[in-house]
Amino acid sequence: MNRVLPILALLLFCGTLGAHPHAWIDLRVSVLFTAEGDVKALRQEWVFDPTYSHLLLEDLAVDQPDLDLEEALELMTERMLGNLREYDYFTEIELGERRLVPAPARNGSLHLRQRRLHLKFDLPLEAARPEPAQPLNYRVYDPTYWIEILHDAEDVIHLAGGGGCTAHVQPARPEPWLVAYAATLDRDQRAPIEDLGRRFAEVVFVECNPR
Amino acid sequence: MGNLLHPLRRFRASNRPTLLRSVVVLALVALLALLLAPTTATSSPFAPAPADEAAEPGLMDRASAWIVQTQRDLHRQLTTVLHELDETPTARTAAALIIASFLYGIFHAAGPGHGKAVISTYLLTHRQSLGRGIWLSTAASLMQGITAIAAVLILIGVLGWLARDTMGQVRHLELASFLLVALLGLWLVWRGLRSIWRLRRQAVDAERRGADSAAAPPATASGTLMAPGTFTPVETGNHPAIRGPQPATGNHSHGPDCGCGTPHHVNPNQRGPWYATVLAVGIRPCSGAVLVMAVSYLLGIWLAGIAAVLAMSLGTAITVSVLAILAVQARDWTRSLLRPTPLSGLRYAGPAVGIAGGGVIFFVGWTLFQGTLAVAPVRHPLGL
Repeated sequence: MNRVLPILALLLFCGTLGAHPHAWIDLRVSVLFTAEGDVKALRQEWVFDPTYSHLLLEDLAVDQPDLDLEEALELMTERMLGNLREYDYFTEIELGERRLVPAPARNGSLHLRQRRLHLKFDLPLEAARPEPAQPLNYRVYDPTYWIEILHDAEDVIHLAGGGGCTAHVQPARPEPWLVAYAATLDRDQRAPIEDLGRRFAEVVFVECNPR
Repeated sequence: MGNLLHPLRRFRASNRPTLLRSVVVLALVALLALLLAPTTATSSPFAPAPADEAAEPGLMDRASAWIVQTQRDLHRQLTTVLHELDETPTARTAAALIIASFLYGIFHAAGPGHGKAVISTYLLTHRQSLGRGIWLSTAASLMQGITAIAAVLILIGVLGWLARDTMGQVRHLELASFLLVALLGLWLVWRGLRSIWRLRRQAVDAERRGADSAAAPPATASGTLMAPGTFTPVETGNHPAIRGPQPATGNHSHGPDCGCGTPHHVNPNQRGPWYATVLAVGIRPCSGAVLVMAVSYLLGIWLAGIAAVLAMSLGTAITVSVLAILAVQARDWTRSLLRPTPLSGLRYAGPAVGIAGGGVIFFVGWTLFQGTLAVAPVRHPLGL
């Protein structure tokens, strides 16, 4: 029995975590500051996994056989950012307790490097100073958890012009029962299942010294 | 198969304290029942955990984080190696791909949360030998892989579909699978009811014959009839069919073709539900396998894709088989636990447990079917 129970517990977990991502994005973020030291935008770079990148490009090649790669990537950038707008670009940003809604993305671009698509864009925010009592925090996640989005382990969060500020990543802690806890949080009428990805999301806190 | 059963017999013969065993069996059954939770959690989340509990990661949290991390690493390794194989097709890379797929299959324990729930519920409530339980898991897992391979080869290869439309098609196979699971549950319920009806008819016949020969009024027979659905203990001492140690639900007479629903090791009647379970579970391909197969096909290394998907299915089969072994053993332990109690004499216990299992399986299938149907398919904003 003592040998059987751990195996069973293992299986149980695999069952609970049955909803697994099928693709992944390595996330690179720069927090852009104004000259006064306020946060003004989040610059993001999403690096898609090679399989996802390949399938997207193949589909586009069938859809639009006349385009060359440059034009195809441009078209794909427009489509992606257009679709993502409805989902706030998979980005949830808060200043203290207050939710910041990003303006439409700017400077979007898509490149193919080493079999992986790199999507870059800037998310403009209303200028705000993230003080210790009111830190800025953000999560980037696919609500359906079809794609797992995590910060690139080989990259750091850049604070561009944010002197006296620090950023730290709180790793995802996907306890099986946290999904229920997350569902009770105050968020605008999304079905619980749509927020599955949230419990697997990292949270980044940006704090600056008081002025 | 005889060899496979042997350890069970040994366990049965061992002299453990009954209380401990019952606790262990109950815990096992409860754990297995919890396997159903992920399939229904989407519609009804558990009670919220207190916020401060989330503050300190305990053993379970760390274990779950470790599993997530390992799954993630294996998935990334699998994908990376697949694309390496496209660039440098060496035997070494091919071997790495097969190993990564196999481990991923073991670890990720198959897409089908519901598949595992159905298989374990079926094995918990319907008598199957260990060998057939393992075969059931293996066949269902392999069929999932084959469905994924066939879907990609036919839809993308022959019909020229886009990868995203092929992924969308997985939903229809999913719906078909859930519906089949619900039908399987109904079928199991119906079989249980039928065997109860047959058992009752047999009992009535036996009573009548006994009454005729003894010229006594059939008081007990009518007593049985008056209370349909209640369990009737059988006086084992008087029963003609008892020969030596019998399974708990086997305390009735049956010939080779009675079809009385308390399945025996080689009862051909169990083949139907066995195949139905394989079909219902296996018709739903794992999306991960479809993706691997799709990209291999598009990269022109579809043979590698087939090998990878089959290796993944084999890994899955191992994990699901472990679950099957646990389910068969749990059922066996329960039966041996109940043997000394009056419950073991219940004539209808076997079919009743079967009906309960069928009901659970129906519930799982129907809930998932309705849940999936209710959510309109939304194209993922990023395109796949």
